Amino acid sequence: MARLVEGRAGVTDQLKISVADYGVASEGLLTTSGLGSCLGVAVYDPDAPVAALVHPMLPHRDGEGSRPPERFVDSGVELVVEELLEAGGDRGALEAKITGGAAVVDFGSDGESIGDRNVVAAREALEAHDVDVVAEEVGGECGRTVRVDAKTGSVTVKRTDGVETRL
Amino acid sequence: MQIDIDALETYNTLARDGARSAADSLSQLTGIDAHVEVTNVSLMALSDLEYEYVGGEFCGVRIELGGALTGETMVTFDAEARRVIADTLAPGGGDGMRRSSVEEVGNIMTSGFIDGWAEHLEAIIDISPPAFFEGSGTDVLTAAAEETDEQVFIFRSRVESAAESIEFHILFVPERNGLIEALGPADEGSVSLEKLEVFNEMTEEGARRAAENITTMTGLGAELEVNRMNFVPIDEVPATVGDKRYIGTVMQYTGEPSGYLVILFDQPSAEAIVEALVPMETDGEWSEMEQSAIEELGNIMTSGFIDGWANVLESSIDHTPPTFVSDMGSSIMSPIVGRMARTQEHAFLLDSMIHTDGEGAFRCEMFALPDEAELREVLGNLLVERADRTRVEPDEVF
Amino acid sequence: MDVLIADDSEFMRSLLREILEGEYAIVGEAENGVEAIELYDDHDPDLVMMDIVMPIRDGIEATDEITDTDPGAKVIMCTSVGQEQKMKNAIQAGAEGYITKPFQKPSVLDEIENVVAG
Repeated sequence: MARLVEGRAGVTDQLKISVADYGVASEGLLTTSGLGSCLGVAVYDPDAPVAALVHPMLPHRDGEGSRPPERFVDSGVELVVEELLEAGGDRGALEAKITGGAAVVDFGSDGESIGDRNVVAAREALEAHDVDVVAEEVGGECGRTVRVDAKTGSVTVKRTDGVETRL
Repeated sequence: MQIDIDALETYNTLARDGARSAADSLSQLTGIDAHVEVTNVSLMALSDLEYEYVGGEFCGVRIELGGALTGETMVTFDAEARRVIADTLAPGGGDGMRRSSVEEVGNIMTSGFIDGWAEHLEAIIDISPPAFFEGSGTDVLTAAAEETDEQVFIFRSRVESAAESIEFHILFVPERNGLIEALGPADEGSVSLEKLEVFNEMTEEGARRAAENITTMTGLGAELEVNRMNFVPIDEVPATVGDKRYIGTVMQYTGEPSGYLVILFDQPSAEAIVEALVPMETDGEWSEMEQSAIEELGNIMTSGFIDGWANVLESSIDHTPPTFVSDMGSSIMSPIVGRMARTQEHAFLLDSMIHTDGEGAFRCEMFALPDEAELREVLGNLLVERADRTRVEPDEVF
Repeated sequence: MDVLIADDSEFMRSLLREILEGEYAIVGEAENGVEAIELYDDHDPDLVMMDIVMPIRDGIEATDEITDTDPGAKVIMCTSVGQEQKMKNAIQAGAEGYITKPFQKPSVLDEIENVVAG
């Protein structure tokens, strides 16, 4: 886990989140890149302010306790919600934005894509924690790079087809 | 000689923790937010490391290790990292002061890296005085690299800063026998080091054949530059490939072993290849015929690559028709890794780089991801004496 | 002589067409194993140039079915696959020739001559 709650003296105020990783910050930027079928789920409380970004790869942890929670959408969302509450977030004020879940590689006709299932799992997990999903930029066939402004919860999504969206 | 793969996982974790502690030292010293992107252990020829350091100026610090673990550890900075570190720590300083600041950062980082290993081994690792080096290509390598083509295990972490476009590497090259001793006695999950090396050589032969196939199809001289077998935490596979944009193909293969093969060209290389295959004017978009040409090249390269395994193992490995992809390398890998991460925590990532000089210059990277458990089984069944039987001509059978 | 080409790659079909045109009459192009079987029934060609890795049904399955129905059928596998086991499977399925990609024009024409001469 990466943390930027107190800020950090020096030349940077960015935290990069890897695959199956998450970060919590009260200022600066949380970024992640290379989102294919993975998700970038931003959860934040703009009044605190505090924000989290998690980059899970698969929808459900299925009770396999030995596996890292950040790798899965359901356990990853649970983890960041807990971290946000601990960092001063208010349960009733949490909002979420979902990005990613693309089908970059066409595997043909072997079922629903991991990306689609990740998006569904994120909506379910956030609802289960009473977090409103206020925006989504999901699906399609393009990879994405995501930046979250920790103070405001503003999210910028840049797709590999050149389209940039502010959520 | 047996290698315990589980112990290798433990060692890779130690290397990652060491790299994180080194990155933290850098952050504390300079305020630069340093992030460990990927840590893996590769089985490769030491001399192949040279290619990591071609086309730029690098500097770093090297220390020799003795006692509980023999070998050497080095930190290498690219030119931008060197500039940022010196600007931060020695603003307005002369050349000597700037160099000294970078050297000191290197010292502190290497020490941070080594501490965890000593703790794990519950023993003392002796450290030589640090030596500063600078240059490119072979200048960065150890003297040992020139002596032998022997395959060695190299632990390597790539560390980046999100805000600055700087990159540095932390490498640990243990002395071969020392590592095997340190890894401890092999248990039932172990594989033979000899077979691991033979499999790596078979893969190298396959990659070389794939390069030949490019040449036959395009007329562009293509050579295999680097071949290595990486052992990497499954979550870090996308970062290993990186965020650069690529064009290429993805194939799934089934048999023993099953897995995925990803062939990626950077944009100019893909254009050079397509121009050689389909000499037609295009408007920047990838036409059906151009996509088909890239797919067919992928198809033929894939066969070149996996046929050798099948022939040596006296089995057959099927592969799916190729799928055209165009995206960030990491995004392309993510659904593949997602599928594999259901059943495995670490991946064998076979990474080969093919390149050409001169006209129509291109670079191509091939990444093979065999199922870990199946590969272990394959290694168990591999007959070393058949290792040179990668190629079979139809005339021999028909 | 009538030739049927079966390959899922548009690019490869165009390469083969270039090599064969002028020497032989191309009576059909199939993109998968099922189409290959159908086009064989429709056109009764003298020779099939058959890829192995194709969607829906692969070239070895298609060859097996074609030679079952027409024991006189002549099929040359034209594939990137260089696995001994696959070559044996191709023989079992009834293929009489085998060309590995990437190929050059003379080797394709030589193999066709060999197979046609029986």
